[in-house]
Amino acid sequence: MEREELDLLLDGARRWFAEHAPLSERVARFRQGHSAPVGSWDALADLGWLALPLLEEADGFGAPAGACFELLRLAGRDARPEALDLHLLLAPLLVQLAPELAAPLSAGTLRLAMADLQPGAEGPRWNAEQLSGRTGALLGVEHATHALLPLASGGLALLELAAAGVSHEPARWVDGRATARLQLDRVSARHWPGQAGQAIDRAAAALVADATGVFEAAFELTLDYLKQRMQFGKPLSANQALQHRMAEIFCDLQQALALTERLAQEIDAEAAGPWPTLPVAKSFVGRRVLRGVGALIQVTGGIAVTEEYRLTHWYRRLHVNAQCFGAAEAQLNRIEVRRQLLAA
Amino acid sequence: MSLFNTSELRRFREEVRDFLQTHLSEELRHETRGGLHMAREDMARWQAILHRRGWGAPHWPQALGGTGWTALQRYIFEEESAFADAPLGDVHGLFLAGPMLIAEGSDAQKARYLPRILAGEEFWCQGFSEPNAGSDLASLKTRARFDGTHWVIDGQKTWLSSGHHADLMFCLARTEPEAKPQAGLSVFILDMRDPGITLQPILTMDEGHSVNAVFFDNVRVPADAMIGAPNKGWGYAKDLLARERVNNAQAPRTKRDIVELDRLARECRGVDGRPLIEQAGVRRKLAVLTADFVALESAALSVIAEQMRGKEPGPAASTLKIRGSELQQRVSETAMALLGDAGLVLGADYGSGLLHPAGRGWAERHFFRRVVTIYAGANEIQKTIIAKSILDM
Ligand SMILES: Cc1cc2nc3c(=O)[nH]c(=O)nc-3n(C[C@H](O)[C@H](O)[C@H](O)COP(=O)(O)OP(=O)(O)OC[C@H]3O[C@@H](n4cnc5c(N)ncnc54)[C@H](O)[C@@H]3O)c2cc1C
Repeated sequence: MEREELDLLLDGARRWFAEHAPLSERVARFRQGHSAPVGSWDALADLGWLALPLLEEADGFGAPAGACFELLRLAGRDARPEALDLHLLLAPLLVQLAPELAAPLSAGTLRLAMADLQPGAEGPRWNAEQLSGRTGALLGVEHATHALLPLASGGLALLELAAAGVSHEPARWVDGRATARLQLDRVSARHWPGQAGQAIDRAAAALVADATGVFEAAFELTLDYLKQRMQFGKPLSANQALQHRMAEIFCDLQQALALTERLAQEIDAEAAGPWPTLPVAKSFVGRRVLRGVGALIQVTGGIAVTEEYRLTHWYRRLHVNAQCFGAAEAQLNRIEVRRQLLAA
Repeated sequence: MSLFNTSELRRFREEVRDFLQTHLSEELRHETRGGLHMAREDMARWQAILHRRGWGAPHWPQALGGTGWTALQRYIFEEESAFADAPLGDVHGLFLAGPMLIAEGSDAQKARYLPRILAGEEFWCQGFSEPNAGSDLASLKTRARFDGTHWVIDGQKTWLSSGHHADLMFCLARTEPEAKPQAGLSVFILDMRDPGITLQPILTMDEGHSVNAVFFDNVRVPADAMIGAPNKGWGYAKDLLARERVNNAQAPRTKRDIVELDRLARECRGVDGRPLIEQAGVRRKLAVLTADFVALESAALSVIAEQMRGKEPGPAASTLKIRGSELQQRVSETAMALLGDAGLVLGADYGSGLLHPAGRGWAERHFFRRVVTIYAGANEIQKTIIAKSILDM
């Protein structure tokens, strides 16, 4: 995919996000739920975004992870409710495992939700070609037709949400996105052994890109606000204490962007993983990005803790991004300092 | 802590503990532990019980309903109340309006208002901040004009905590527009039912309703609704904010929270199925919080020791708000990390299927607590106060 082509697509995405239930509008009626109009997956398919990550042989654009990340950053900036993040990173894996899935994935008729491994290792089990048990909480359940489930055995399962034997325990995340746990009773599913780890890391990578977009947007809004808000006869931005605070957050933002880019390069170089930057970048979201946006709330003052203000919603979304598919502590435990990262 | 370890204080602690054991219902404890913004009737119910025992406002002068306890006894009382999950009463009446009336109010005002605060019959709210006067409070614009018989108040306030629960407001308004910003302010008592007062709810990050905007349109209050002398309001407000700051360190409640974290770490399990407390990283996190708590508590106790020697609280008092509020945030951040995805649910209408029973209320507390470093004088402003008035920088 050429840079020019990508820029065109990103411009289109910016416009489309601005015209279809933008965050600024959703914030005003947040308590009625976070969902975009139901038709939006069809629209995403029409726009061609769903075919973006698929190889040209599978009628896709063959866009590298870097390009997908740029689109995901835009989605994060607008706190989009569509699970583009899961789709863009997991569709390539699924198509590689089952090429016939390319058509429904890019047409938007197969729409993914995905669960994390169940804490306590009590998740569903694959037995006699069927799945039984209780899943972790699903991300992307709003528009989904299918659930992708990493299993404690290391296998990866794909099942229809409407299949016989599936019951839902619906809930909402703190950021308003719908979630659910599934109770599975001998549900037919497709199953691929040994793919759980890569699927989880792909989902985690998608959330990193989304979080970076959130961070960028939160930073820009705050910088702008500090230059407008007058206290003690001058803009807040004239106070050195706040200047230094913003400069520190800016350092974190630059690092978050750089980590995201490096992660994309690793994914493009070695599609099957492992990607040494992933645990670093994902734990960065749970540590520095979360703290950075917390600091943006602090320097903004009281208005930033209200439902009417976008920072509130970005901050809450970041908690979901930080927690799902490997929270900071778990990711930190994976970092093998000498062998992988510091190797020359 | 050795300071607590006299037989007399141990007896006192026992007495408080017995009282709480007997009088605090399971239902109120449950509400306090899980709830963030308590219902007025729950707070009032508990305040009435304390009042009947003579413990309605331990920090007030004895003649006006106080207990005559030392500062250390009061601290023990707060600690026991925190550990028993006793509700906080109407903090605006007990800790802000009450002490201001005691210091500056007329005898008639004291007789009219103090007993009802004590009994939990009337609740107060604080009308200081305005949309354009936050940290820069002295730039506030709400006007009070005297029309010969009444003060007529026009303008707008924001961030009224518990405004929708309150019967009364103490309100800082400009009475002398020509004077320097700080010089022309006075404090008024408003009845929340006065014509011309309109409240508007503001929802906060926890999706709860505890704060409000308020609009004044020709609100008429009698001449004796002013607290203290005209145009002296800035001094009263500063005294009040200093009291609020010490109160906001919330050390005993934070101690209670840290004990809860320990419980969470024992009850929640990691992906390996083992309790989180078995992870070295988790134990270290709890140890760091505990150490930082003990440091905060020590500073709070040293302020108490100074007060007991009859001295005004020194520099340690100014650091309490900063360190206390930061610690409150770190505690709830840790709770969220321990709860994992079970902590990512806000309240009942988010579906309880995800929620760990021990996790009730933590997401709400966590999100609402972004504010503790902002309200009661943001921490940046506290730091400026320390730098200027203590460090002479
Ligand atoms: C939930 C909630 C409840 C509240 N309850 C009440 C209440 O009951 N009654 C009441 O009167 N008020 C109340 N407040 C108001 C509170 O006291 C103010 O929010 C606070 O004083 C900060 O003002 P602000 O929000 O306008 O922020 P701003 O003053 O705009 O400040 C924004 C940021 O800039 C920083 N800043 C400002 N000036 C400087 C400077 N010179 N140098 C360095 N940094 C600076 C601040 O520290 C803050 O981080 C409440 C607020 C909230 C959010």
